[in-house]
Amino acid sequence: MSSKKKVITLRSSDGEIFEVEEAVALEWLTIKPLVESGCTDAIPLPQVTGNILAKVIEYCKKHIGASESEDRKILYELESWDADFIKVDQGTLFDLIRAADYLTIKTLFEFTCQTVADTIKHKTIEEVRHIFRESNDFTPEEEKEIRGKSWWLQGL
Amino acid sequence: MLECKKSSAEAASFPDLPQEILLEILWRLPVKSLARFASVSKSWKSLVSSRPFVLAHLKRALGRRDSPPLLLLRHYSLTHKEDWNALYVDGETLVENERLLFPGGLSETFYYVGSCNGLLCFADYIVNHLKIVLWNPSLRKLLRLPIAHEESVGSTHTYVVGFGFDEKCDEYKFMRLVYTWSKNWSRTLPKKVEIYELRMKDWRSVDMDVPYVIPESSAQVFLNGSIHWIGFRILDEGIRGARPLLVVFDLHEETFREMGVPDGMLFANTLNLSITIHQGSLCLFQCHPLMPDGHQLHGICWVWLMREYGAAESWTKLFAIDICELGGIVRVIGFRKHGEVLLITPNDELVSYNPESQKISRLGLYGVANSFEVVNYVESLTLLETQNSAHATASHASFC
Repeated sequence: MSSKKKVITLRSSDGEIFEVEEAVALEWLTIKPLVESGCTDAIPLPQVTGNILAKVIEYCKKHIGASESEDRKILYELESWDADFIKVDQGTLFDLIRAADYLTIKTLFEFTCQTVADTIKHKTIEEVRHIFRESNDFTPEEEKEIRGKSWWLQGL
Repeated sequence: MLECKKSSAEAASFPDLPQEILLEILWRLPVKSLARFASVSKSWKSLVSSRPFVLAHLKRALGRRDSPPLLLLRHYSLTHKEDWNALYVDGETLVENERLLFPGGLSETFYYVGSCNGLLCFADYIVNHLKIVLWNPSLRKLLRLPIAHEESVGSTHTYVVGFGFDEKCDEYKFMRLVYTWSKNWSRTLPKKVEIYELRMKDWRSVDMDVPYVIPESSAQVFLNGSIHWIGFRILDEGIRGARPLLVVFDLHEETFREMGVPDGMLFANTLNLSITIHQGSLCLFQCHPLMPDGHQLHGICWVWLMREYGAAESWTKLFAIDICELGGIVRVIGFRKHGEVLLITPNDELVSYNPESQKISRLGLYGVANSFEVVNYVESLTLLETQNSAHATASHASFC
């Protein structure tokens, strides 16, 4: 990092140290006040592990400036980069949502939530119960009734 | 499910999700998925059918710009010889996306009242007996309203039905007006408005003198919390017909008011006028019959836009549709997303008219002119908790 741009130091929950450009850190609303106050110490992020923080930084570095671009080519490239970026297991995906929520990074939060929605929309009820660890607390009669009401949805 | 909780190698599971995050995921789902996922668990069921969630989901659906717009087109198809309700992707051309079956009974002949937030209201009347239904096409659900009351059989009645959303009360409302006709065909104006609220599940009466006549089975337009029809004041009714105006019913205040039509329209026959929405503003089609006294075939149609809502002086003539060389216009239906106008030609075909190039493109849909309706489609979870009453008796609203 030999550029003249100001660099912010971050420390993950497992003690890893990361350096990001100030412009990137300013997009994270949770730490924005700290960054603006000119804090030079490493900012501790006790809810984010190093591997997740690395992903978050990778995403934000790629997106800074590019999301607002009106150049179709740039937006198209960004879209395909996003598609590769989000090819992660569901545990990582949910960790990214939590991190984006904790750090208040709007674009990453919306993108990851949408990804989960797109992943589950065609899943069966049993698969969804498993993913979200919801247990079926309907009585067999209740379940029959509620499924009967939406019989036309079953094959979708 | 106990072993599931203990499992440590469950990379595919995501326990202990804060409800705010779960909500953020769920309201990004299409209505079909949410209707299925209501049977995941009791907490999911109450979450997705809760009013705040239904409303938030709707607001998101209304604000979406990322998917191509869908039009819901209804008509009695002359090709298929049956009612045809289908969703069309409104792009360069209209591409049928999905056919929707309207769950009404075979003997019922509903006319389209209007739509709001993806819900369509229909009414059907046999003498002195008005049926109203609400259809949510995205959930394939039909709700039958209870009959308000039976009118006396000693006289004839005509009805006006209105439907819309009272945003301040977060409530869908229906209203009806009853005009009574005596044996010598004199008309008595309504002395009350009857209102049905979806949550209250009952009709109530609001006493008021209604000085307006709204022709029977008039199509409405719902905008800015109010229902709009083309009507007239009975005092203005003369031999040459009445001077048209816009009759406006505020669904929250539950009061009537009126708006003027463009000056050039003051002596137009209400039958040659129709109302729609274009670019979020009220819009009027003024058609000129080809033959005197002939309302079925029009040579030219003027399109007017009310640039400032409620300000009659802001009516602006946008353009004229002139397709005389193709035999004229039977009916103008409404606008497509990119500004083309849908209309019916004398050979019963639906065509799309481009105001800029003044060219039409044929859509290959043939139907009965008066049966065509076009609705901006939006997915809605309203009625999710309602039992489908397609086969229920007409005299009871069926909620679960």
